[in-house]
Amino acid sequence: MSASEIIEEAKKLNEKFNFFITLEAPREGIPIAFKDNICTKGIKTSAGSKILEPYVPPFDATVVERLKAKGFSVLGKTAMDEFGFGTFCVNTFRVPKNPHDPKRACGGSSGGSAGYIAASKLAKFAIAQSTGGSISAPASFCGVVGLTPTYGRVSRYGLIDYANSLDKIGVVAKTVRDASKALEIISGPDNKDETCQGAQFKDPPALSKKITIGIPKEWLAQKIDPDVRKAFDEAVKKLETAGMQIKEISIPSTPYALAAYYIIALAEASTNLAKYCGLRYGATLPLEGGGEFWEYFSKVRGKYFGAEAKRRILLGTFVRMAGYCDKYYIQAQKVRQLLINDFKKAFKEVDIIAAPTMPIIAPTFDEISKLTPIEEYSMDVLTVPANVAGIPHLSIPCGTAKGMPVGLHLMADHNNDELLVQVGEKYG
Amino acid sequence: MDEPIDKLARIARLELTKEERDKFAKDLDGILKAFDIIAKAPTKGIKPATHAVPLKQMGRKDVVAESMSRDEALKNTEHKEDGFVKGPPTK
Repeated sequence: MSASEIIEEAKKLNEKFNFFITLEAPREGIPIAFKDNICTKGIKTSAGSKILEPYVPPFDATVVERLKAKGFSVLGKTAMDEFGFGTFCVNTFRVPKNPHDPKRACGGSSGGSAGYIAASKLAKFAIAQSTGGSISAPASFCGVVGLTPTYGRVSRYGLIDYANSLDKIGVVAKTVRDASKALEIISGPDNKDETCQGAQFKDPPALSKKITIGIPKEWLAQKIDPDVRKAFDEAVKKLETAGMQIKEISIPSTPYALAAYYIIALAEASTNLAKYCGLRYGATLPLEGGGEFWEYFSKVRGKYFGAEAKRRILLGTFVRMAGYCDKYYIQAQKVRQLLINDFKKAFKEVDIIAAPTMPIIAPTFDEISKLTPIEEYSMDVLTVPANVAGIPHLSIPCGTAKGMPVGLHLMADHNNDELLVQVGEKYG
Repeated sequence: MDEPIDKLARIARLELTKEERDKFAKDLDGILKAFDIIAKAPTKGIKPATHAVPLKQMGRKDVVAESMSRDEALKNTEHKEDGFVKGPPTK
């Protein structure tokens, strides 16, 4: 397959499904897609936000640099919820459609990357990023593999931050092996990101040891679509048939994980988004004067941030305010420690944890428009625990429900990404 | 006297329309009520985790390296003068 064939195919798919915000025609290298919150030198990078729409980064993110060094080039920048703020990839100015059913969403926030990999016959992988499930959710909804590494195994240099203590760059791919090979290229320490301290990931050989899989009883007690549950039960049978032992386990802090996730994520997001003030880059307004200095910032931010970004900035600001910080933000960080303790205990009993990736199949745009914010946030209930704890996770297609793909979610202990990939490959 | 939502919007540097202000006030109320569940978590004696994995103090050698030129750094704004970013005039 040639670069021009990849570019031609991407153009056609983009017309039909809106996968890309920016589409390039690179003359060299194997063109691959990057989520639009990853900085690419000389190529527009908006993070799905109007406030950054005109931004052209003067540098490459470390993951882009590493892929370019291995002969890849930038095909384009994929659609995403504004700054990653969403579960369905609808909170943005370019909304991708699910290739299995264009009336349905791709899932968020890495919706463009996952949809493109699902629809393309030529692309093997694309770069995505997760804060609370933004790789797994769209991978599940679009029927592709989504691999999110342990926090700190891939450099975040050049990533437009949502929440620094939660953000992880990862991969969506056709197969577990493709995801694994891509992760090997992008992972490893980087002195431009001091939180990137994990070792380089090595594409592992086939699994040779006996594996025990744990299924948290509290997670299966959540509201899960019965057809999704059926597909998951079939997947568990398949794991058993492959020689793995299945065990019920407990993650007692489950009821607090969703709230803890949103509090930490929004607190960090509200500080990260403080830098968008219409002066140094991004959208601006005429410099009319007479007021306070910050009145200009407030106007620019009020005009260009989308509704969900504003909601999250307000919430994130609130949970950090004097008088509320201990109740929300500090307590949420304590819950994060509780959750990590629960996982560490579980991983003494089992090697891998399994659950459905999402409690539902990809919803229609009409269904999404009727959800309240808290109903939308609740859809992340099965993906946030792994993300809050920073453990690696993998969503693999496991059959269908009502004709739409379902994802099997596998999770491993910190820095056991290689084992996770081995088990994923064994599942097939 | 400001309502809490007005104070919050001012601190967050967000100019909101009347419709947005009313909608967000209602949304925040519902969302914060849902967040209140974390008060029930058994966190006595648990230290807050700022990160999911333990991090070492990192440093790099103090050597001069190439950095972005001023022109490049200013390329993304129209509000500039004499090599500086230009802010709004104030009273």
